[in-house]
Amino acid sequence: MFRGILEGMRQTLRSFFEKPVTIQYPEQKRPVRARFKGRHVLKRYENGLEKCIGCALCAAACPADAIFVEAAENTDERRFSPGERYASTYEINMLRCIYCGFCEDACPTEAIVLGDNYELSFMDRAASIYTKDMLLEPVPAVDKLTPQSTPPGVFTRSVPEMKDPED
Amino acid sequence: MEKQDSNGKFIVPIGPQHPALKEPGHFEFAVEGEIVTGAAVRLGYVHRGIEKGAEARNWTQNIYLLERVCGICSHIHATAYTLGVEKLANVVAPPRAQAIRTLVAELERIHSHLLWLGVAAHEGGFDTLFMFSWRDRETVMDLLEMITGNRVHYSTNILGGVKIDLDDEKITAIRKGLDFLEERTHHYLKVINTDETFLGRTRDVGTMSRQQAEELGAVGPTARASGVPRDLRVEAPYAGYHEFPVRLITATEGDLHARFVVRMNECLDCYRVIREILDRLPGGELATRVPRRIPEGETISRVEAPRGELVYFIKSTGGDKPDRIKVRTPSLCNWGTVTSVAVGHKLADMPMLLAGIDPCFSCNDRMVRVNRPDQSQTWSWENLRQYGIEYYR
Amino acid sequence: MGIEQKTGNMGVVTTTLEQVVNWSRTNSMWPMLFGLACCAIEMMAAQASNYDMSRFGMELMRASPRQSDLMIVAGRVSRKMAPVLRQLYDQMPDPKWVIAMGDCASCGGVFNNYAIVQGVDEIVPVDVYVAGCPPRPEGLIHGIMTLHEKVKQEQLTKWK
Repeated sequence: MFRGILEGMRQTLRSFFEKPVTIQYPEQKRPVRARFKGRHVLKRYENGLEKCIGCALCAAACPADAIFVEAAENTDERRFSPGERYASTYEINMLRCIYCGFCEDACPTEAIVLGDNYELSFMDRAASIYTKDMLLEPVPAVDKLTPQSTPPGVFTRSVPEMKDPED
Repeated sequence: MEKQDSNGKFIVPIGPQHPALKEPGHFEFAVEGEIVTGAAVRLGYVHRGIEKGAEARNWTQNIYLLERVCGICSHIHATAYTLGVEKLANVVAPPRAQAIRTLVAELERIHSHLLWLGVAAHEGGFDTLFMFSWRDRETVMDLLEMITGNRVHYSTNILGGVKIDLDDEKITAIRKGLDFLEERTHHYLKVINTDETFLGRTRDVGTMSRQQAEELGAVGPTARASGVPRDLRVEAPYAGYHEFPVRLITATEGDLHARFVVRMNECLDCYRVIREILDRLPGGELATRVPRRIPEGETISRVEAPRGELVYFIKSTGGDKPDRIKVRTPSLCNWGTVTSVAVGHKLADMPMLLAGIDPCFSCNDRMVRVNRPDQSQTWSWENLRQYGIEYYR
Repeated sequence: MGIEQKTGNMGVVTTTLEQVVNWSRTNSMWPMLFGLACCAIEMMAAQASNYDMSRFGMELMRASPRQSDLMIVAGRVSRKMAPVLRQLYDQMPDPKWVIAMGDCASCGGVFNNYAIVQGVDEIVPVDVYVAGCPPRPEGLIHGIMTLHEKVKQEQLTKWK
């Protein structure tokens, strides 16, 4: 009887001197792993053009119907993305999204990527619908903002040449 | 499910929201003083209509939907589904994909057993063990996040293979995590077998003989703790279990203590299997092509979830959406054992007994339709929704 | 406010009744155990040692609604469970707050069908919605801190 109590107390005493494993969130934020599926980000190319071409394959793939895409046509004076079309409206409802990554798999240009942000809390439901400007990756320099005006005949392919199409 | 001694006994209702269990379910125990004389279970509080929803989505979207049948055993549901669909499409996933699927399934088994250990200990008032085992479980969650990207609902399966690959850095991290966990599991086994108060609560509680277990149709570690040698990974190996076999672990006493011991020993075996997989991981590609329209046919896919035998029936009529998917989950079988075994025990033992079968309420709520040939109706989506709203008004 | 300007930070707190009461409310909210499905696992993980919620004063998860002030609806609410949820909410004493944790509690999530209530705010008034399927424990703690921000803005005249 006593041995049981003493054994239990010995365990407890030992754990007084162990290093605590608690992560003191929010002061200390543990970085997430590389493959973590958090809030979506719409990526850009290095020249600043958006990768998203408004094909809506992600909206078709989504198991929860969380994405809404409307496409419009690019002109060379106001060019948002290479190729003919771009996404004029792109909305994702964060409260419907199940963070499965299927949109990431379905995208032909690798435009939509699930990033690292997991701090998604809203006071009201309408605030959870993220529009395109909230999702787009920020630009490193002002001259890379879209819409850009580009020389004609340069950006005619929507989907870039990929080195390894099987990848 | 009812087994009640009638006339005038006092009925104690527990649930649907109660401190003993984390998910809603309604239990009614007919008691006489402190001794339980009958038990009834009422489920259905988490019914989601997944089987109907699966008919409206195409084959790939269904993987993500069916994963969410259960939070704890999500990967094994997705694996059962993809194995079934691949069988229908006459496609075999490459060996590397099967090995990775098995690896994630075994990691999931470890996480599920550690979770269960913590919750069952919490039912028994042993909160220290809860804190310890969930701290160790964080190691597994970390590994899973590193490999797959999510802590719960890791969407790794795709039709024809897996989405993720392992490299040396990850393999080293997995090995390190496993070493730590193995040491901790030995410690838990020691605690379970020697701690006197714990033994007092679990020994000879809920004893189920082998014959009872076979008659009542228990599955999984609950049955194996009564000596029934039933494990699908050994009897009907699927995915990577042909190359990496698993040991069958049973115990003979059949009481609650034996269930604890069986689950911890299963964890130890999981570590061995994972190490073997990491040592001999086959090379090759990760997925094969599966056609968009799956050919016609019906198939049954059986896998061993952490709680027991999981059966999927998948029917296809050649389109790009499934015609019918029926899921039979292991927890549904184990409820029958509780209602029989509970008789004769004190009321205070009930929470631990319920926790002993490792109930997963989300897995349970399937809709069973009673077939009345004269009154058959076909209901559309809108009708069902309206019915649901009005029924509970 | 006057003393602070004259003597600077002497370590003495001068404040209003509103701020004190709001601050003390945020630091001792007791959550009610209402885990329904997969989100319950992450809620329990937030309660366990690695992402300890008792640092925020939420040490105990009270099972009784009469002794709790925060209801974290973790998981999907089916139509069968909805009256139960409302009854429990009515039994909680004022002041009370509700966090809808996860996609399914906030808006039905992936299950857009006959059996699930499309958002728990059909039944109870919700203060904060936390997105994720399921949200990480840190995501839940971020949601709780958003709630704390909201509570600190509450005004004296609108107290219940």
